[in-house]
Amino acid sequence: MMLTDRHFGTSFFSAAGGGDPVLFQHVFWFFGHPEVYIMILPAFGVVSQIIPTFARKKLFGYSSMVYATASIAFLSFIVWAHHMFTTGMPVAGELYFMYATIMIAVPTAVKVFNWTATMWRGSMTFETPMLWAIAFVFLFTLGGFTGLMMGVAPADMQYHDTYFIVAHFHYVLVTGALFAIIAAVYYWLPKWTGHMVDERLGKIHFWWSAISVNVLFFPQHFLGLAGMPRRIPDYSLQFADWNMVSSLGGFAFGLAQVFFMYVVIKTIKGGEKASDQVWEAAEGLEWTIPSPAPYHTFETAPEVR
Amino acid sequence: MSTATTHDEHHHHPTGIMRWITTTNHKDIGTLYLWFSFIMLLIGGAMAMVIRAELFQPGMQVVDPNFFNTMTTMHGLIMVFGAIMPGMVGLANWLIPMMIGAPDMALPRMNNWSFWILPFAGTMLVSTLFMEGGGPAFGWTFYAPLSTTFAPDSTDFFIFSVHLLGFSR
Repeated sequence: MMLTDRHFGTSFFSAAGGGDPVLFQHVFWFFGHPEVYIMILPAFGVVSQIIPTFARKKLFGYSSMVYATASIAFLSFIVWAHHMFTTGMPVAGELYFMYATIMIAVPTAVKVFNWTATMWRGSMTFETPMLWAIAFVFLFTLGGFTGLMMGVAPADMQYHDTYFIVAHFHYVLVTGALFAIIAAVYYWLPKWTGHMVDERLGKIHFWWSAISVNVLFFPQHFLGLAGMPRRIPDYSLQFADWNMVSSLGGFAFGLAQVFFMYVVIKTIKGGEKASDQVWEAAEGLEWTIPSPAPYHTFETAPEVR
Repeated sequence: MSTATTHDEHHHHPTGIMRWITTTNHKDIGTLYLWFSFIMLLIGGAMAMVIRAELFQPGMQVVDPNFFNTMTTMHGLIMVFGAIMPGMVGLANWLIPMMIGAPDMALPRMNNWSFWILPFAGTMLVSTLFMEGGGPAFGWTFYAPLSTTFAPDSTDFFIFSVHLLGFSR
């Protein structure tokens, strides 16, 4: 539709030709909102693998986890217009999208409580993957809370298009999705390469990232609440201090990820030999095959107890 | 679990670059996805550094406003479609067959094709930066009419590459 608007003189999205630019926003966010859950649901799965391993307990409430995932996936399809509270929807529409959006907090909270309950009275150890997974739970929840704030339609009138939004989605995507990917890499890297990760370097990477990412994104909440708009190259003077703090955090976080590449390449090249089991309490078929995993595995189906 | 360890030692597969181009092995493809994802993370991260450098102090110091907007747009697109999504797909490719005890993903040839669309789509997206009129500068949400009536010519390449990036999942 964009292509035909651009080249063939249609005007789906142009008010001048009888179309409607808001239609574009509806079409985009009907895709865009489920898209953000495509990025976060696998992260939930990763964390649900890692936390039981290092808490040495079964995942608390497995079936409620599965139902929570399913209901988040379903709800994600019916909340798209919460990105568009300021487009002048009818009040009934605003109310519906507000309630539906806030409803997502219920299954998400079920997950957070389950992860916490998994750790409760577990025999916990804090290897690098576990540190990333715990940071995920804590910081993703923080991003979820700001999401709730924006889900309240009247409050969103204030937050819309400010740095508050930027802070929110970086908390759920960077400390959410990206942290989960990094946790997964640290967790399964011994299985992929046959070498243990240098714990000292992994922990340096973790603390370096976890501190700098908060220096980077936390001040953006203040900037947004104070009214700094997003996507602008210049700003008025009262925003100067926190922007400088945020930039410094940004450079540090960027550098930390270059360090991550060094840690990964070092692990590929060598390091302490990994056992097949790798982590003491890890469960699943991938821990029954040798480390590194041979080129072909399970050519005959394994027996599952 | 003796069955798991008795794998075929006598398989024949191409070596060198052709191994990676023609591979149908879920582990190879998972590795390709993860490295692609990491390279895109660094490219998108470099763009974020440009953004933060410009915002370090008030006023215009480092880049012009249109290029700044291009950076925010491309940073968003590359991180969402180039880094996070392929990262998750790479993990899934490596791990799901090993977790369920399957020899490979279903439809392994399509799995290979699915990956190899990505570098081309990613290259096309990044190449819009060097086109006349600059790359897309309307935010990753590409709201109309900025992305239709008022957009640079490179927008067509952007539309096509985002379709390919989505399609390759």
